Amino acid sequence: MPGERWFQVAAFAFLIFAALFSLTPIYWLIATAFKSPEEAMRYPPTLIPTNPSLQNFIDVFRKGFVTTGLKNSIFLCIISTFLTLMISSITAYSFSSFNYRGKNPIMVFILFVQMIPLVVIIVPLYLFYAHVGLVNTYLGMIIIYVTRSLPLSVWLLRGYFMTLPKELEDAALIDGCGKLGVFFRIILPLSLPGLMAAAILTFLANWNDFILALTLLVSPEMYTFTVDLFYFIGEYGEVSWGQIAASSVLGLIPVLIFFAFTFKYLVRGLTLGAVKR
Amino acid sequence: MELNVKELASNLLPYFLIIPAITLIMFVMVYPVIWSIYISFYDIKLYSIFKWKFVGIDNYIELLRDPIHILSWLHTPVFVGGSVAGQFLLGMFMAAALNALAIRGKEIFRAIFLLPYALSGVIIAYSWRFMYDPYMGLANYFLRLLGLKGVAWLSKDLALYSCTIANIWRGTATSFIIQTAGFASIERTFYESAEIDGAGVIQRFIYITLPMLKPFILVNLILITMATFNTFDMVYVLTGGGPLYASMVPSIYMYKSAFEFGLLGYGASLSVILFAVNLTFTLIYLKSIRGGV
Repeated sequence: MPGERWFQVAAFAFLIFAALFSLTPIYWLIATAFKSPEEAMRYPPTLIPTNPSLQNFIDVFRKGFVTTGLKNSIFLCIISTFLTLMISSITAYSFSSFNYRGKNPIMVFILFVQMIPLVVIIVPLYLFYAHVGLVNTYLGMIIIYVTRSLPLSVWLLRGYFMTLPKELEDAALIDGCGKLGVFFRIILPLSLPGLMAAAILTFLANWNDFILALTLLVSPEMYTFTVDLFYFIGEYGEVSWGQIAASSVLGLIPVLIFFAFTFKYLVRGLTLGAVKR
Repeated sequence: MELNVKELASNLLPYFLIIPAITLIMFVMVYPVIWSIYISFYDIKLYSIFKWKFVGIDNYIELLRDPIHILSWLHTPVFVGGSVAGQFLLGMFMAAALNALAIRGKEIFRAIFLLPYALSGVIIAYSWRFMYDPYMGLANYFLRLLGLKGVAWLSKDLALYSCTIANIWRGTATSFIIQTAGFASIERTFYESAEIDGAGVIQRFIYITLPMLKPFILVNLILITMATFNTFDMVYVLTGGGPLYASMVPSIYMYKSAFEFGLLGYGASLSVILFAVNLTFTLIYLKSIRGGV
């Protein structure tokens, strides 16, 4: 059918165009990071760095622009991800393996909480933290990072736990395993892919967080990576574009590594949270 | 007797398991939302946060009078409307094209389309700042390739549109993935029988695909509308609502009022309004996913 053939070609051309649109800004950032300061200012711009150099990265490290931020982000994200998994997995287990009064309303309530955006709670949260002494503390950051990650993680893990065969659990119960034993010995070991997905989504969300760290952290040595990156220009006066780009690329690296290996989990997490019940 | 205690404990176990999550959620997500209503009746300055002065509904009256606040709402048809239209159409076409094609390497396309979703808004803002630079940016480079004159993308006249384009770029991933899930939910057999009946590509799209996708489309539209409406990091870093408030949107103005102008009570009153808008969308969302997506 000629019509079909024409359609296939058009669809493919559109996909190529869309892929270029998707990649261009990221490419431009990376290209800028590898240009020398002179080349970065050249007009008209060069599409491909003529003399790729690591100078910007060396400068960024030597001046220590974002190194503290990267360290703080790694620390906060690892702890928060670990705690989120612990708390959300027991919650999800409660939802997937028990029947009790009030379960469904509580689950809908958690879905509802997931829809509360951070911009809406940031002012009262700041005041609340100020009153209880959590402003500018890592404890405060970890509490909100964990909490805001819980709803998606709970829903994702509950969905995963539901896919495990019920017979396994029944057999273990008959063998005298308690309900908690079933969770630790059967459910958790079998749910590694689901736990991975939840861990990645949690890590990424908090790694990319800006508004919480910007508001709740006050002293520069506490800043996370994104806040460091934001204050870059103001604090250090004249900073070259290449150095901003190089710093951004440093923050991109963990994201790209996660993404390359696990983007399927990302797809699952996104669709589970968004459309599947 | 001992048995009863054990039984009671096992009956209560599911409740115990949810206590940590519910406690945290109540304290740092739900309580702040409710408390913000109370805060919005007070005048609280950022530099003296323990001095609260009751002002009744003055903050809300001031919101109605504040020209910049009103301006920020006047920008939402362009910013939210433009973003949602762009993200929806692009995401839909991308998912449809990928679904319709019989090619290898679909995963690569999918990964590329999803990439913006995984990036921080701050990094996205910087990459678009580099794109939009009048001299060294790629945006003007392409315009000149087309024989057009370069423009000042982040100037007073264009900043709002430039933010919208960058936001379309950022949010299309979400739209794409929801629509992809939608296409995946349609059974192949429908198409096969339609094809046997002689239905063409376009007919199949209109009579089979669209009706089956309807619930996904609704969910998609709600989620991307909310994401755009609540956007903060990218616009804050890209333009900060400027120049001269040209790209000011309500979420940014709320933040600036509270933490840059130091008027926490005033910011809280705008938070309450933002929450009311979100609540409306959320209720529609919860209702629509109950409809069986």
